[in-house]
Amino acid sequence: MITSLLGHLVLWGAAAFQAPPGSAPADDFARIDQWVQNWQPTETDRKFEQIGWAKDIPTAIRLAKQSGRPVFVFTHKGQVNLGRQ
Amino acid sequence: MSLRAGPLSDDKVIALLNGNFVPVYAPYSSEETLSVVSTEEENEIQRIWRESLERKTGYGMVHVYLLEPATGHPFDSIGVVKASVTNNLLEFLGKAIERYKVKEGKPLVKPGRQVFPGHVPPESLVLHLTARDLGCLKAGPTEPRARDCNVGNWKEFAAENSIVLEKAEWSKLAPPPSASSWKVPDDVASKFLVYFYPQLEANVVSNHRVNDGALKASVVSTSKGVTRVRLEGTLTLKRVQEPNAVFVEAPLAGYYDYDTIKRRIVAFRLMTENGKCGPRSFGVAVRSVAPEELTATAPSK
Repeated sequence: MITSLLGHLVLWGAAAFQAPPGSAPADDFARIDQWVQNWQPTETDRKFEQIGWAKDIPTAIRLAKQSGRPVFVFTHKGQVNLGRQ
Repeated sequence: MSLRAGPLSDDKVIALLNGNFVPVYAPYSSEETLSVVSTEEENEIQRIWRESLERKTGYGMVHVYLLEPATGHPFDSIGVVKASVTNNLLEFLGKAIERYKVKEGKPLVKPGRQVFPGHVPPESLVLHLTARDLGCLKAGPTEPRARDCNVGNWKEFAAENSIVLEKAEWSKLAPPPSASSWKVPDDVASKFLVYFYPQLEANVVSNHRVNDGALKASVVSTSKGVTRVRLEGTLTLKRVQEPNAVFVEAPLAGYYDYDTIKRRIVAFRLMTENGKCGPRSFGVAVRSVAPEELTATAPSK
């Protein structure tokens, strides 16, 4: 229900950003700024970045030897950090 | 990607990884990751896969492995389907903590942005792109998710790209003398327009082809040495494997501010509010990244 309402709000928001006919250039640019700002990754999108990821496997192994912690390695296709394959 | 949207976004998993492990994600070499994976990293991935097979500790290409602290050899693993149920991953991590009597502490690597490159050539213009399906923007605080079933999928979070335009490239965006409108050079426009698509599985960006003259520029105003340039156009993206099929269509709108005295771009914005990719509707936002934002973030792979 909440997801559905949020979806409607976003659609409403997207519609609200449509340039009205005959709008002034300054309004156009403000509309673009607003869209770009609203479309940025959210806290939810970025939870993955709350993890302190090592740069690469050799770095992780070096840190593991120093700290006595096991290495957690996630091997995968594509680029999980970008959400792109 | 379901692992990212599910357990790797769960507070309890995040706390366990940060406090007891050295976490690392490792994309393997594929058509999608050309030039992303170093030879050294690929060799390490191959070693882990090989040793896991030899030790019979479980194997998969999209898979989670645990390596011994002292030696770096694998001692346990879990497949991504099983690991995507948060409780399974929590149990898996808990066993390793018990086995090595790990003393909980602070993260060994400071968490940070994973999107921007660790190094960019001097005087580059870095653009940040965010793409997601319309209707998938979820603002506000994160709601707790179920831990006893597979709840995440890759469409739940925004896709991002960072695009580095070196000086020789962004300099082509300088307004031509005495012109009021012009076509943005296709080679420069293609650098960012190839990323105008929603999250997709098994997609190779190097196969994307941008239509000629997709982006047009025109001078709007000049004030205190800064020229505002409007960007507008229509993107028609095709892929080499289907040269006659339209992959993406998207109306484009944006602007940039060009400092005519310092001869550099001081702001860049571009968007599509309603791109079409097959039956899907998506939006994209592109913005220039300030140098201080780059230096304040951790380097990505």
